[in-house]
Amino acid sequence: MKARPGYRCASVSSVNRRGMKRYQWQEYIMLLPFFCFFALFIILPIFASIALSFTDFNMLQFPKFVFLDNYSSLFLDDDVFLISVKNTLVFAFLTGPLSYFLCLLFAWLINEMSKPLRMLFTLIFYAPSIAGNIFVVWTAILSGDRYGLLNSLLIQTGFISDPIKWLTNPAYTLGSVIVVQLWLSLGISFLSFIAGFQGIDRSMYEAGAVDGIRNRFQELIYLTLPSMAPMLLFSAVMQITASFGVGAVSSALVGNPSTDYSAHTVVLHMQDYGMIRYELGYASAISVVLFLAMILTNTLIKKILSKYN
Amino acid sequence: MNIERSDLLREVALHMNAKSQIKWISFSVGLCFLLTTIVPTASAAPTAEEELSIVSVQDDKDSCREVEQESYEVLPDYGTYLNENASVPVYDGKPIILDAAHASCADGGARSFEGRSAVIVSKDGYVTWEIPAVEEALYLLQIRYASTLDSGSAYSCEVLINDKKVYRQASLTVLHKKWANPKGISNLPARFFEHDQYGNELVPVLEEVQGWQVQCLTDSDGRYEDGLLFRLGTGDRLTLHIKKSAIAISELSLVAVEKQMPYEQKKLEYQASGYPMLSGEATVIQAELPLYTSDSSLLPTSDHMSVATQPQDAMHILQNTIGKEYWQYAEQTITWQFSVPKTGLYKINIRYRQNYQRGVSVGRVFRIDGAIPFEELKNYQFEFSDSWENEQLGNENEPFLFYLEAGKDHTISMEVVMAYPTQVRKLESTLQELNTFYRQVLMIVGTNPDPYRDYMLDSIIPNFKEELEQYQEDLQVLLNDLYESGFKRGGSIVVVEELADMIASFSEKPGKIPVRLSTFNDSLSALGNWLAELSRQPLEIDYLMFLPGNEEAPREDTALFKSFAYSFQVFLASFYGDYSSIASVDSERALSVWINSGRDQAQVIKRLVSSSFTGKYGIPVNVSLVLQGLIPATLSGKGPDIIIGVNPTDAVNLAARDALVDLRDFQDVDQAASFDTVRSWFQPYSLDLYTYENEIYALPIEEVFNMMFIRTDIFQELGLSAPRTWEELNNTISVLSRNNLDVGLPTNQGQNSVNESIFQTLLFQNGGSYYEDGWSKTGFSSPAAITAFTQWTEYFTQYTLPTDYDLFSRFRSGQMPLALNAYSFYNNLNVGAPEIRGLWEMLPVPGTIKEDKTLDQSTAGSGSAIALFRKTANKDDGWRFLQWYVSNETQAMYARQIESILGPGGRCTPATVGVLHEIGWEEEVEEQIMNQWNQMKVIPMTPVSYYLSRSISNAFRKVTYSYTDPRETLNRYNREINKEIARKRANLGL
Repeated sequence: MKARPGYRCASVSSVNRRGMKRYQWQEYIMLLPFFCFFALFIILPIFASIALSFTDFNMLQFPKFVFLDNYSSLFLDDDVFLISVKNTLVFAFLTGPLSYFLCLLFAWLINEMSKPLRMLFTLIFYAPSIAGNIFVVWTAILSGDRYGLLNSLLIQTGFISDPIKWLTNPAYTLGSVIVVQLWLSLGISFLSFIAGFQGIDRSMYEAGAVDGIRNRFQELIYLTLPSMAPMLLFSAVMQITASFGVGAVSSALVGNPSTDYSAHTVVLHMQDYGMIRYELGYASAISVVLFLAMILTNTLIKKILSKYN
Repeated sequence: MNIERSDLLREVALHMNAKSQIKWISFSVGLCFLLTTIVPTASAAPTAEEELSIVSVQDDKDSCREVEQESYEVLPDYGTYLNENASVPVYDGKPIILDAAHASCADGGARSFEGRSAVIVSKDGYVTWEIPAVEEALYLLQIRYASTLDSGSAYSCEVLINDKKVYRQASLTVLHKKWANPKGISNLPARFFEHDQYGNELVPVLEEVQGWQVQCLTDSDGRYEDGLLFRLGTGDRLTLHIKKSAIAISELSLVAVEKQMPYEQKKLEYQASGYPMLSGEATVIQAELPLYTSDSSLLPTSDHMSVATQPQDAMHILQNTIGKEYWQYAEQTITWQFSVPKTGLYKINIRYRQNYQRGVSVGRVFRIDGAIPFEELKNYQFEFSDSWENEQLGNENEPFLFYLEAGKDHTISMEVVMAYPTQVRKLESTLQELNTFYRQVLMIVGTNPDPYRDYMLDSIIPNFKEELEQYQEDLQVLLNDLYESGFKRGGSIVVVEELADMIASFSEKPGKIPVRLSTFNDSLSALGNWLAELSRQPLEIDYLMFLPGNEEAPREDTALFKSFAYSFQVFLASFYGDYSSIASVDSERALSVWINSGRDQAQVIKRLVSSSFTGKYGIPVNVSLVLQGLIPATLSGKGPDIIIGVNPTDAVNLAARDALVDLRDFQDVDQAASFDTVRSWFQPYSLDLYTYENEIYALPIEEVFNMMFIRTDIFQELGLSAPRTWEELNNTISVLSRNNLDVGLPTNQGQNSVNESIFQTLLFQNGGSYYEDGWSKTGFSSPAAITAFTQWTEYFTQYTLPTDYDLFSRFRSGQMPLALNAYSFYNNLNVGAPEIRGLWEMLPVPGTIKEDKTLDQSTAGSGSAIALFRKTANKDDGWRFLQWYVSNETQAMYARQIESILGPGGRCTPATVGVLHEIGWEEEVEEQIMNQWNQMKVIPMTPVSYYLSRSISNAFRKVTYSYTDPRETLNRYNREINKEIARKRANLGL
């Protein structure tokens, strides 16, 4: 950055240069506590799992080095892994974008409302994601009993005559989980969108009106969205990355493993091997693959969206 | 897939000729086609199967007739007995004493015991008297008895007249023992609690106290206030059958119903005698320091929240109250001892809290020196209150006065009675009638009635209109009665009000009944739940105060600031307390024991450890309550030496990785019990569950298996008998489903996996097994497995039994009169469904008739275990702990204490066989359980068990949802399992 005339540039830069040196180690000192925790709880486990992914480790006995065995059986032998990849992709590229656009749509709609209504609706949409494990209420709604909420409603209205096993019949499990996941995922992005809408300078719309914006849609496309690019990027990354980590909802609703692995995701596959079969080497290999896939998609999305930035 | 249609089909099949049947089916195929466009699961396959079921329904009509010959004899209820004997006068004379000398008893004649002549009746023994010349009348039975300090928490006593059972309640009476803190008796009123290392007062263990007691036989459920009457005449033989524990009986008296005078009269008596009104200091006795209690579970409790509770300490937990939900069952009595400084008239104040039953009062009988002073104290009611209240015994106008003499020890006792016994009884019988009515309608319209069809209920059900009007009237009378006894409109009583409204609208518009049937059922079960609540009488009391007649009760000092300061102190103190460690000792030798269970269970175990393990063997033990993380902790070397309550899956995973000790190593150990001795304490197959590669790595501590539950009243109504074989079960299912009733086979175990117990049961009975050659491959390709699997799935495809259901509510409402379930379900029913008491039975599961004509009723068991880790420094100490813990003595003590804390609903399902007899099962029930237990088998747990269970679940769901061929489906999944077994074995280096 070039120094503008009128500022005491020379002295600033010299102080800076010396100051940089002085500040540098102080800054690192200030970073240190965070870095320690980050290294201990994030970096170290990543390296540990990369290392473990080349071993056969049953949690109690010392790991045996097996080199690429885990990876070869993961890619060549494991049918269930393929199912889980398929489901994860469904979540990432169906649930992720879908919820993204739903968030945008709802945020926009709500933003148009009067303040008290906006507060109310924000709370309603945000409530599911702050309420923690509240999604278990869906087990009552989707219960396979004749008296389950959804089943009894459908039976009473005459759509079906026998209860549908929403959570155990492989034909429905994935659909059920997707619906719940969508309901749940509206939260955070939605809030950041609302914040984004609020942050847009009102005078821009006035200027737009003068310049010939004719309706609200044009306003959205030409003014609102471009001004919200950072929020959009943040949400997109969050949504898709989160979709790779989907699993908790599935295992709480349809169990891990679900019937015929119909709602099995990569994370659940990893848990299956790690926590049920106690084959940590193999589970680590899965996690490494998932990790790489996440990094890859993240970069991709950033690249795509940076065009609009 | 279409129950309603299949019902129609059945009707049609029974009433129409073959031609129209075919037409009907072709129509239904069309309907089915229409449905498939909406519902993807509907497939054409079931139509064919339904045709099959039509045939089978017609087929088994004859076999049903055969079954109908046997039917049930249900013991009459006491109410019925009283009605039958309404013409017999109630005895009103002096007690007629039948002494020990005239008793005949197989265990020997009268001898001297504790200063009286008595017969000692052994456990499960009988004692009989011949009734001398008396007038034919209804008598109460009063027994003078003393404990022989035999095991057991109380005596259950059955009355037989002329060797016949009389009525249900007479078979279930209870004679109570006396329990006291052994340190307390001589020390009263000093506090005699022990303290833990943090200075908190510990709950004492009560011990039985000897001494003569007099008690009338009463209804142990508390539904009848005055004790049980028996019709006796000259020459009748009266027999008492004493169960569970030996007893000394010195006399049996035939007595009249005791009558007390009302308080008004008592007051006149006081005035006539000129008893003085006193002034001066009040005498306070702390409720947590009783002289004795009727139940070993009536232990002191703790209230840490109210500053006014005496005594109170913000920093430590004090045992400063008594009662709570441990003091809620009829006949539970607490007795205190006190003395007063001056002779004269006193008032009694009780500081109590009853924050359990909202809007409902609870009842207590007061006895002073063993007698009820006046009528009002026969059922004195304590109202609901969120906070502590100071109750002065009295009526609306004035406090009651009691005449007490100075200079001698008095006793005061409070016994639980039901606050509204008559109302509860009437409600229960109304509920039972309404349930029958519900079932009648259900049998006609089914669970999924057609809203557009007129079922003509009023012409099918006899006296339909009259009955409904009768119910309506009954409910209205009951409601008025309840309003009068203090229930507020719209309060908790709303369940009855709603039901009354619903019945009223039913009799107005009978056509609407089918549509509102499930709501009706919900209201019935709501009423059932409310009744179960209403029959419990919890009460917590802090102290009793004897206040001289002229004094006023001191105001309670609960100023806002004081309470606030106290709460803040408690909050601060909460940072210091250690809540996870239950007992810790600092010693090299100490065994570290983890308990994977509830907090109450852990407390009991800890108490047992300190009193009878460490005390006896001198081995220190650290006990902690740890629910998760066993395997990670073991990995990091922080794990325990012993784990109590480990589930078989975790246990086998630890064993397969060499973390657990092979218990066969303790064969020649120089201790009280070698491994083989310990092994003999269990059911022979129990240990199979914990055998891996011929090593036995854990001992079972809990064990459950399925049994069959049937509603005897419904079976009687339909002329059915309990099925003993699977074929008989099939017939029963047909009859029940023709009446729109269900049968429940356990299927659901959460979402994760299907409950395999029925498959396992069928597999055992067909002679199959899960594994072959150790666990190198499965046994699922055998014909036995295929038969078992096919039969299992057919119940859900052809017989269309439900896979998801709430067993408790359906069994209770009668919608599901037959169900197989873990035998612990008995406890749920026993506690939670009082209105069907005596109308259901628990029997062994259906069996298979073998080639040699024997009936194989094998069932599958599962449970939890105790295991010893290899890292334990002193393994002999570890083994000593294990064998001490699973021993009969320890397990029986554990089971009794748990039951006393959690009530009969928390009754244990022990694995040590001898324990079953020591806990409170009724004799017949115990016999049935033993009968089934003897035929229990288990599937060994292996490191691939998770894969078998998920594959069986998947196969089961595939067959029942998509109607695939069971044989092929099982084969397909079997191949996958075998692949996984091979992989896992390679992984474990086998």
